[in-house]
Amino acid sequence: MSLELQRTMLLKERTRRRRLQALRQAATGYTFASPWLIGFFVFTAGPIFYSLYLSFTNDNLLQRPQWIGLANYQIALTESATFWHSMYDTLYYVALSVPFNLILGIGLAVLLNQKVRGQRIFRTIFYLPSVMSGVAISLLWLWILNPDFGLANIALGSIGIHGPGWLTSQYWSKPALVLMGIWGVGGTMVIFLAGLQGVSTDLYDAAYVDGASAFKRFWHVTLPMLTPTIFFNLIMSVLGGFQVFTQAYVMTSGGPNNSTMFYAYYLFEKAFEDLQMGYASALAWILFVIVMAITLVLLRTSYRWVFYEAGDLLKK
Amino acid sequence: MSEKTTRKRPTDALGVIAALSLSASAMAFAPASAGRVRPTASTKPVTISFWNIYSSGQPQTTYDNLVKAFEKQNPSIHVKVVSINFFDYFTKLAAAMAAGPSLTPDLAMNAGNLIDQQAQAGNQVINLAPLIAKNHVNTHRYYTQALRQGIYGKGIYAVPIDAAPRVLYYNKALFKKAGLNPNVPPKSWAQLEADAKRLTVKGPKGTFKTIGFDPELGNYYFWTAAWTNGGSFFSASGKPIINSAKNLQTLQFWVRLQKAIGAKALTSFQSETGNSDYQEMGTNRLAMYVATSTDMSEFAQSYPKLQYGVAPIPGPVHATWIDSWMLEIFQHHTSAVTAASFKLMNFLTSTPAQVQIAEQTGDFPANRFAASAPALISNPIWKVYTSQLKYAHFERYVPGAPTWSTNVNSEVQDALDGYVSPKAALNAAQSQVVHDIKLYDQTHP
Repeated sequence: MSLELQRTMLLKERTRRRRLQALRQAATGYTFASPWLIGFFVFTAGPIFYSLYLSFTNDNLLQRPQWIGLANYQIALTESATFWHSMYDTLYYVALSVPFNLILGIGLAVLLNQKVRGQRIFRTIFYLPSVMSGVAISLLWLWILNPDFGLANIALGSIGIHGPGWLTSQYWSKPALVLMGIWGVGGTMVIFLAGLQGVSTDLYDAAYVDGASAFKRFWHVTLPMLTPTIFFNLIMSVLGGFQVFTQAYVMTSGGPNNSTMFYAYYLFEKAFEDLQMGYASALAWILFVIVMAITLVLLRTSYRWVFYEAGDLLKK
Repeated sequence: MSEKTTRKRPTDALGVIAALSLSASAMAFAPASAGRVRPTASTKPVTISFWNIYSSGQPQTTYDNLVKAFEKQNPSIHVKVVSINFFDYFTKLAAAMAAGPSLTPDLAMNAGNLIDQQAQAGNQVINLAPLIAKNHVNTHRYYTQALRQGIYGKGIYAVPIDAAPRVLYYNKALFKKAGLNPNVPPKSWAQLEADAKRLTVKGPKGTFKTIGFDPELGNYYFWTAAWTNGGSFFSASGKPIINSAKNLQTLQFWVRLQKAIGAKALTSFQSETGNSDYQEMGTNRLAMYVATSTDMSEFAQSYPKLQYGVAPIPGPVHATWIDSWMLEIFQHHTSAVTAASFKLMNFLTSTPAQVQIAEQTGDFPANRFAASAPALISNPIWKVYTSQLKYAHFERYVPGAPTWSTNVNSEVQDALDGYVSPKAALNAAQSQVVHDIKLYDQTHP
């Protein structure tokens, strides 16, 4: 056997061993990750894809689903008035609640970022509602929004304003739920607070030296540096807004006069009251496509207004 | 008597009941004795699961005791009782049905208006008719209207465990106080409206100290009122007639009653104390409302001194609404399990068991012999309940619009709240149900 051949064989053997080792390492990695992977495929990915299949069937939980093609999608988009009504109610809620949530979240975060006595207590107080159960909050707000005995109308009455019927009025029911949602702004506020911690004091110092006022420092330093956090909270608020459900389920049952028939509540009714699982699955996928499209649009436009400390690196 | 759908069900139902009654003629007028059977000879042990909604209080104790008594009589049968809170029950049952035979219970309670859906599916619950005939069970023991809820086509897919006819409760003390005869409850709509007006006492700032009557309080529901006006929601051929003249007349009457109180004032009245309707009557804040027999036991327990009476629901036509809890046996289990489940079902609907349930929980029995047991029928209030069963209607299952009554209710609510006229509300409900049925037809080739 020539020396050249021996070298070639040795190289091949080494390569084989390296591959084996890499395979073993990969197998070990996958073995350790398998509990999560199995959980993900069985309990998350599996049901997601199964619901996609169901959306093309007339599944009602009781019988074997029959394939009906795009009928569920066609019915929802072209024949169901309730679908469009629920979409309107949901968009109304999103359009009103998301800006309020962001503006109030930033405002509170900036205030609670000031080094004042009792700062931690204030942070805890403002954050507290966001860790409470949605159902408990809903029941509490049913009292607050009571037209005659509720805290809201008593407060308005004390300054001479005759409060509306809130949840008993088709015109005030959605604003009432938005108002209630603002109460849970603590979650958004905490993320903004974390974002504020990351803003370098050097930038404020430089702006101060340049003679920038407090408002200008906020407008030209704080806000631009917070844009990644604003972007994150915007996406999360939009996603949460489209999935609004508990309030309608617990407080209004979609009323009055269908004014709080939110999309997720409509989907729930179709799935668990009418047992039209196929149709409800189609509704879920339509919602997914809408939310995905909005998220993509936000992502595309984010290059224009979101500034990262890493500069243009993320744009490439 | 009942709402009709596209199926010729009522005729079938009567036929089935008649046939089974004849086949069990030997036992026709003998009170069922399933509750008194001797312990059976020891056979191979079998365990069955029994799902029910009684997860707390006296009903749970009563049912647990009955199951224990059953196990004592049938030593070879062990019953695994699964008590699920009412609010979770239907979701869990639906999930079990979707999961398949390995998770479905052997014997389960289910709402009367959901039985048809399962029977129509064909792969969920068994047709009990052969077992009823084989075991010579006397179907005459069930109130006909209650049993009808479990009949689909020519089969019996569930038997009733209770029958809850709605009646009018009225507070005699408040009647006296308002100068009304406490022994003459209203019979017609005009009398109801006039009495309600006299019984209503206003409080400060547009609130009410006492409400005479409001259609939204209690367990009335629009369909019950429509039936008492001779109305109907589906034609003989199964077509929706929700906006019929009779129904419109009923809703106009309801809106008139509601206007006397006002939607906002009613919300305040309800949230002022957070009480249930029976508590409002118990504390003299409500003079009349429609409810089932369960409220009678609530009064006995919480307001033993309350002077009250019950009467048929006022209206041009004698009618009431029942929505029974039914017992059904799921398919795909072994014959031993099915036989044991049937035995328990038979035991729970037997006369002694039904008397025990009625006495301890106040649930009106589905077993007519139990309802007329001396211990119960001696109560004049109970007599009124018994007299109402023959006028009972129940919500029909409509394949394309299983929640038609919810849709109707929602539109009716809008009319009561003053957002739309009665005519517009019923037209909207009609359109919704017609639309739902059309969609169902499109997706169910």
